Amino acid sequence: MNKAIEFKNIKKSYGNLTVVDNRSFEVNEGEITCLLGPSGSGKTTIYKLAAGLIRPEQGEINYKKGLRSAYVFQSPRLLPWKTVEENIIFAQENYLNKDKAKKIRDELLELNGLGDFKDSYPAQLSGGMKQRVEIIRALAIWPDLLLLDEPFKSVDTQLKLNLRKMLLRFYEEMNLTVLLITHDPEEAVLLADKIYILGDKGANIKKEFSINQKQEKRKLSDNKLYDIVQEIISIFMEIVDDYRWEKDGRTEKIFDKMKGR
Amino acid sequence: MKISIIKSIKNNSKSIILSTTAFWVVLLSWIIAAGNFNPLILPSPAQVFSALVELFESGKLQHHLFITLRRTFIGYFSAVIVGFLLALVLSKSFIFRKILRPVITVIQSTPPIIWLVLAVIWFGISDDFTPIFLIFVVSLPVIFINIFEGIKSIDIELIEMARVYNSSKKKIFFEIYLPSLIPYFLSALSIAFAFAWKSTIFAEYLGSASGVGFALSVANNNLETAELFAWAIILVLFMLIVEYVILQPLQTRVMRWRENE
Repeated sequence: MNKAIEFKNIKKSYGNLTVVDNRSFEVNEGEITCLLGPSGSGKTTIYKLAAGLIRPEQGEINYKKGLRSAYVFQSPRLLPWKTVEENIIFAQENYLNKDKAKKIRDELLELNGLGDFKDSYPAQLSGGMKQRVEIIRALAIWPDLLLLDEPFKSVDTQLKLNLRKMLLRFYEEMNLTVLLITHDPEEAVLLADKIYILGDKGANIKKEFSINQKQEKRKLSDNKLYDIVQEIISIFMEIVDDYRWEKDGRTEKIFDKMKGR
Repeated sequence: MKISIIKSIKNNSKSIILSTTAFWVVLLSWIIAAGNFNPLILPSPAQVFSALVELFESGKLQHHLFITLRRTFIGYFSAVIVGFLLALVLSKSFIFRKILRPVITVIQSTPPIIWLVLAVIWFGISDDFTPIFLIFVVSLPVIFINIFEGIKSIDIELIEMARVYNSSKKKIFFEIYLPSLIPYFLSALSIAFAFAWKSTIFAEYLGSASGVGFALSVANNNLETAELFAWAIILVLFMLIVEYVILQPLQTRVMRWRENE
């Protein structure tokens, strides 16, 4: 299996806080690789490292040459003074000729029911629509590699399911390589070929899962997948170690205080 | 949509009625007050109007207004250009920022009369230089500070987006930096113009032998109070025209992407 991205002993700190501590992992070509972890586990830092927005202090990141990468950020990063169409062109014109760009753009907007909104400004769209435009912009450059940072975090359930389906369709049709950052175990299990569970300190990789089943055949009711989800959740619970709401004597005293007894 | 149009018409006609009423109230009070005073102290609206007509017919109005306008625009636009460039340089260079930022604060907090006295000493009376210098030195900090704040508030996330999509520095400058700065630039233009216009008159009044300010000082010395009022009306009218006919429509046009409907 060819590696599209390879992280080798990467270290990154902010001040005294080491966010990523000597981590290695890879994103295989043609696969969906998922980094899964609770907030504060260094996911977004890894995303920024992969995107080249920040540099590691130590270690190296190798990319397969000639891959065209597209990016989807947590919240839509659209230029407010450009229309939907102009925002997509902003990315497209760095890669594609005008005719091809227009063909792809028109189809993508139409498929997403945004054909009538191509001349609208972002301020005129709902949050979900903006995120859809963000995703369309990424696909519209016709990428080989797609890097997604919690792409469905800010959209409602219905749109989330829809966008997941779209993502999978493109993944298959275009033979995409995907790096998906998420905090949602179900999402990871439904989409990923490989899952890295990130821990609390320095993006510690707690566990890796590989799922060898076509994405379109996966159902959460499937026992095997359900077990993986449960296992991931229990790893999360270990990481967070949140005793504050347990009925263990300690909290009863606090509640007594608050109640004024 | 329809409702909002009707609402805006209603609001518009409301504000028109209010401002017309205010106009008539002021005019009536003026007429009544003028009846009780010597015209040397408070001339009547009719006297001021005829002074206005006389100024126009003698060509004095056009002559002095043109000179004042020319000076204002030279001083103002040099301040705009220099202020803009300074803001760009200072935001990029730490050393320049440390050296020049206090200088600008000093310029800003020095009272205009000091600059005017200095200008008269340096450039003498009856020169274009004195008023132009004053306009420049008074408008420069306003332009600079607005643009400087604008640069600080540019959305780093948009720049990151542009960078991961391989946008050139030139493209980032023209398609992200400049549009981000437009609101700050327009508000700088508008505030600085009011400063510039007032400074011109001030400088001409004390340190020049031509222009509206000079004509004002002549009328004052000759106890032509009606002419003084006529000039005042011209000055205010011109300021209003620049604000409401040029600057505000420009703002609405350039910032149409901010509209929410």
